[in-house]
Amino acid sequence: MLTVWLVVTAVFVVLRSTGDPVRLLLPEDAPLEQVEALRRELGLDRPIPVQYLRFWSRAISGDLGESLRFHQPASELVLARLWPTAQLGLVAFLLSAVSGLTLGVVTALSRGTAFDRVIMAAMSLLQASPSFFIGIVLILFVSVRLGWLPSSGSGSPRHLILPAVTVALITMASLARLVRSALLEVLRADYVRTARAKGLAEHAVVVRHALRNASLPVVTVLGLELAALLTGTVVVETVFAWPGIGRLAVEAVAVRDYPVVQAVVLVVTIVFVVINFAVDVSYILLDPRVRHV
Amino acid sequence: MSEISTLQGQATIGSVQWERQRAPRAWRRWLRGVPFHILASAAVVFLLGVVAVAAPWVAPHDPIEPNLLARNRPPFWMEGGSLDHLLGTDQVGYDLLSRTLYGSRPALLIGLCAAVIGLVLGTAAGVLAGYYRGLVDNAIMMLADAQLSSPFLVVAIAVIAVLGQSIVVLLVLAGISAWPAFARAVRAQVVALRDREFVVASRALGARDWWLLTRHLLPNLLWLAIVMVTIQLRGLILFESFLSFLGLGVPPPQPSWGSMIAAGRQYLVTSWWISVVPGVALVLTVVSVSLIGDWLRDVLDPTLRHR
Repeated sequence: MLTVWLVVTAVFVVLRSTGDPVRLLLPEDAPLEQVEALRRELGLDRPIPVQYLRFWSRAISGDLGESLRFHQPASELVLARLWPTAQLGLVAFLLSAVSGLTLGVVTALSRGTAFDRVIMAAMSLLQASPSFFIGIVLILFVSVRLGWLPSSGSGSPRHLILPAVTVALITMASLARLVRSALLEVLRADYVRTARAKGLAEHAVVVRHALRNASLPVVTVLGLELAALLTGTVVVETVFAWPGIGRLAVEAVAVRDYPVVQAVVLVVTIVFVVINFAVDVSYILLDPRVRHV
Repeated sequence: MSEISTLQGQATIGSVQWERQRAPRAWRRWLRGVPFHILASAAVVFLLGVVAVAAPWVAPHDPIEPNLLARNRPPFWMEGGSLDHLLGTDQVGYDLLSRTLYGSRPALLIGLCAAVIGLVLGTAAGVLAGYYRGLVDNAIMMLADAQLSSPFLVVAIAVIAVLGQSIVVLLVLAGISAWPAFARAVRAQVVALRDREFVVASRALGARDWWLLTRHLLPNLLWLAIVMVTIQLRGLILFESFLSFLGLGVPPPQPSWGSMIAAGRQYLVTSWWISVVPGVALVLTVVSVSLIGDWLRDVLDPTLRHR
């Protein structure tokens, strides 16, 4: 909640401190009465604290102002674009979770082999690449050279594949590295040696003892990874012309549609906070020790 | 590592003269212990720094002087390419090699300056929090956590929407984006240091807070600062390229790798090199910087790994 409050207040302050929004909305030579009228209409003639309170009371009731370009409520615009982003984010998250976990476990179990080294080097390379460039390279090979998938736009599940893979690759890379190091750490623990000593099969040791305990550090970082994934989505949407919330923000900025920008920031921040909360809760569910503290 | 070996040398021989002759060889021995990929990365970063400083002398063409007669030319090894434009030209006839060389400037300038801003803000906050604890600590850490759990890139987009595109805005935003990481690391280190014997002893001798801070705490944070700057540099260079890619970073027509990649997006079918040339430069830079960062962290302080 504190995060939401801080972020929105920061945006409010920046928006108000840069001068009169009315001057930006009207032509330079607009008559003074017109400026005054619009100012009254938008409530900008009130003192700043009053404006601030009014902004919040409206925001809580779902009124985030009207888009200056589309003359539609900003909240409607944002909500309409929220689903494509959520779709992209969810698919990308599932992809990266499955592939990242698999790669992490496989490389941890085959530590030191050539396979492990090649995969880990590839993961480092992926992790250091900006998502939009990965997207461009994918378009170049998969769409332009091979012609398998459409390069941009939306409408069919085929359009979803490339952007989702792009977003997933980076998260996959950091997840794989994380799972690998967490698992290696756990595999050195005493209880793993005990489990082996009492004659458990290797897969039982890994699945029942090691993986469970290795999941704790992974979940801790997962929150940050999810946040990074959402940010990545915002950028990748522009690469693939995906009609999500990130592209809406970039478009709104280009035409100085401030209410929409404000609404996007508010909604994305709330989503962030919800994700972080969910991660905290899952941490409690996974680690019985936290519950008793 | 070099420190340990020279200390041992002093202990056994105890001669300053011997020490002075010995030093270069110890340095070389230390260098031999550095893995090859780190040396290669360091070479890349060094070269990049040279290019960024010497761009006007190294670049074959003016980066913002379009050559309308030579648009969409491919790199020299392809059919239709020429040695005049080694890496080809883009849709308005800018020389890609020159622009890519110049593009190292915003990447490094913004990365380094922002890292310094983040370092100063974060160290101040971290020292305050770790040294005084209590309410100050809670407030600062709450602020840091709040920022870490906020979509900073989206907030940055909104701020740029209002303040307009400029290098200064970009720099300050990038610097602010980095402070919580610095603050957390510094705070943890200060908390660990403030109860160590030498600090307690100094305080027992009547040292003031300022003395403790400048003589005992800050010098011990130096390595941490170097490691953190290197690690953060990766994210900051990416931050600049992200915003430039979205058309909100370095104002055109000044070249930046992010905006160059964006410009080539529409021409992928016909002229793929417009995006790929700056993209390769960007990836090479970020990979080198992050390899060095990870290595420094592991060598100097393995306990930082999970932070």
